[in-house]
Amino acid sequence: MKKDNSVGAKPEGATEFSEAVLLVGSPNTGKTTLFNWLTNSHYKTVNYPGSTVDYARARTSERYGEPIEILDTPGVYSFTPHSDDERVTHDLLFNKNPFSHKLVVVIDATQLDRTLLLVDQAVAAGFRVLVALTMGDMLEREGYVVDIQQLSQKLGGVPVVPINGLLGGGVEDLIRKLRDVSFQAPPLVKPQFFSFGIEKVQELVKKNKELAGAVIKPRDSVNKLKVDLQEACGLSSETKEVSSGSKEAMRNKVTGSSPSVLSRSLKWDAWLLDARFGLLFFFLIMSGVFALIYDLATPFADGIDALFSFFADQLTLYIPAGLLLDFINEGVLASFAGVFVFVPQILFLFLAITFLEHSGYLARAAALIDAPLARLGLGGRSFVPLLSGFACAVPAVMAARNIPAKRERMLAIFVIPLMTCSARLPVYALLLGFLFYNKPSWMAGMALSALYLGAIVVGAVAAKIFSKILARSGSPLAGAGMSSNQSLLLELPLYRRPRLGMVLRQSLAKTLSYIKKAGPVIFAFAILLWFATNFPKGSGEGGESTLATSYAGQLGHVLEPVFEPMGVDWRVGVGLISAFAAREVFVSSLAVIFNIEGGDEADEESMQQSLISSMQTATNQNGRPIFTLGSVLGLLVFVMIALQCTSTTGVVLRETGSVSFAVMQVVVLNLVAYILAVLIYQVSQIW
Amino acid sequence: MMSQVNVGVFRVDQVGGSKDLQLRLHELGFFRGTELEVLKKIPFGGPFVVRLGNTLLALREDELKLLSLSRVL
Repeated sequence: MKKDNSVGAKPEGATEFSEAVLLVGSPNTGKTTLFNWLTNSHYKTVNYPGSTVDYARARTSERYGEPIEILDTPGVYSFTPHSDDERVTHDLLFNKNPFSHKLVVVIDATQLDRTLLLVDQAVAAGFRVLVALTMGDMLEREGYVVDIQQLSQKLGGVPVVPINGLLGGGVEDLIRKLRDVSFQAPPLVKPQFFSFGIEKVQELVKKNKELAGAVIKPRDSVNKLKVDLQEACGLSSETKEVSSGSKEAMRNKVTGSSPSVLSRSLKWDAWLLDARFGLLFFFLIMSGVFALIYDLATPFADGIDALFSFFADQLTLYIPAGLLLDFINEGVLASFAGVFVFVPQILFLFLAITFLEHSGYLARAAALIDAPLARLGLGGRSFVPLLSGFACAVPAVMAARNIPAKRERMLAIFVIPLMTCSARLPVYALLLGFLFYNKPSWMAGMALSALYLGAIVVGAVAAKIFSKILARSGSPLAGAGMSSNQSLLLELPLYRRPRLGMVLRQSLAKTLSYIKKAGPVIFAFAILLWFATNFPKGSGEGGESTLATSYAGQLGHVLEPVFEPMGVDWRVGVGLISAFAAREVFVSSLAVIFNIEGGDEADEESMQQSLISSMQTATNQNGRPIFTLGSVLGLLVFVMIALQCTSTTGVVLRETGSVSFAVMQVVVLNLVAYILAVLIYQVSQIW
Repeated sequence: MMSQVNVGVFRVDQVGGSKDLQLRLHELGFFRGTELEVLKKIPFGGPFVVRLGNTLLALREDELKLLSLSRVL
């Protein structure tokens, strides 16, 4: 794996951009798959200056010779933007100075009539255009081919390169064409955006329907098939003698669709979108996904944990005990472990989401859940962002860009942090491990499921309340978007078998980008926490005094009155505060705090086991146990609701561009979490 | 009447809604004269599954109502 063909950290230079080739295309055309083939999946997401949206940028793989700069733009149906991510594509194309004049427009062979619109707009704007034709294999499987030469000719000589998304065929040919002088030569004037009005769009789509009918041909060029197909592609079919009058034939003629390309998908949809079973399948598939992720990720997470413990043990053999060893083991290694321990969880969820996306089911899941979500003020388009929230709120908040209605998008961003992200799992594991100590493991499993469901319920309630507030206040947040009207208008792509290699590559890339984004923050805070808990050094009367007098300890003592109503003392308070670096830091900081007090007798046990036994004996100054049923339940609910994640708040700030929204979110979620935790503990005391 | 849109083939007579939505619908291929097939409705107030040429789309009832449809089949 070579790393260096991703663009370096330097800000994009002016000349660099004008050299770049922009990849544009409609959603579901296989644009990103082509991008992955071109760049061998080594790309870097770039924050578009002055805006909130990322696009991916990379150089072509070295195997194709001298690298070419490629930019993958968010998918659009036309150059007229309707949502924030479409706005980015628009700005990249037209508002960038110096501009790039080189476009690769990706079109879908099975949806030629619709996807050719972008080619028309690109040519009209004055770009140098190259067309990449994907999904030819889907068409071919049904016995049809696209006449490439004729298509190119009909497009006025724009070169067309067929791409096989499954095998990567045609990529080299595309690269060769990218190097053509005629493509490289800049146009005399900068490409200009022409707003295509309704009439123009209508005219072009009609023209493209005819064009599609003309260039798609039966592979065996049997005439009878050709007649069927011309109708299939929506030609103004004068050939009426074909229709036998049977309802099916009539319907196909009338809807102007090729039944052959759709028939497989329709067969699947008969089950998966069935009026009775559709939702059942949805819940089965989603539960399956979560069960699978949890079962698969746990051994990996344990393995990573064990690996770091092993490193820590090995280091004690080589480094003399003292501050340096402490720093490396409890500071550096523990922080790394904190970052990596839940990477499997995130990777597996990304794998599942990407797999479902590539299979075509994900859009259907969104359609199935649209009505229930709409009742909360959300909608089907919020489904994928919310689902990603179960891995990590950071990419989930970014995924909410895809929601065109501003109000729905704000609402989704508000509730995403309530989804059970993987950083909560180590905390849950510790607290449930304590509650169900020496009890059968299924009990803890049930409790974990309850926490997941509880979080969804809280999210639903929060969405409902917040949407009411937004609707009533008519606040500036509500109507400032591109379109304040909610809409679904969701394309359901054809079902296809996902290519596992590509799914794996894309998921790995997403996971890596997550590690790069959130990792440094978590790491930095963990190191800071180590210093805060170890300095200033105590007066030498044993470890306990070091912590008690440390900066963190001092802060904990000051804030103790805040934590007392929750039934916990300043030490847990320090844990909760440190969890604002990242939730799972709660576990490592508790470990730091209690192991210092507990001495070294726990070396042989795993960290969590020894921590649980310390927790069982921990008492506050008055000698009362800290960790009781009431206080631990309160802590669980606190962690479930509280927004303890600086990375999330950072990304919310960036995505919404609203300080008041981000602050309001932090205050509301943490306040509600705190009040509920206090309530639970206080009620438990009465009993 | 439109709230009782049922499964079947329809012709689009007119496209309504905001300018933005109208344009989006046109870009997707919905305009006067096109024919579409409503395949099914997802239960509990869910969207309609519509086929337009080779494209399947999920449209909310409100969105489908923007299209004045007349039944063909």
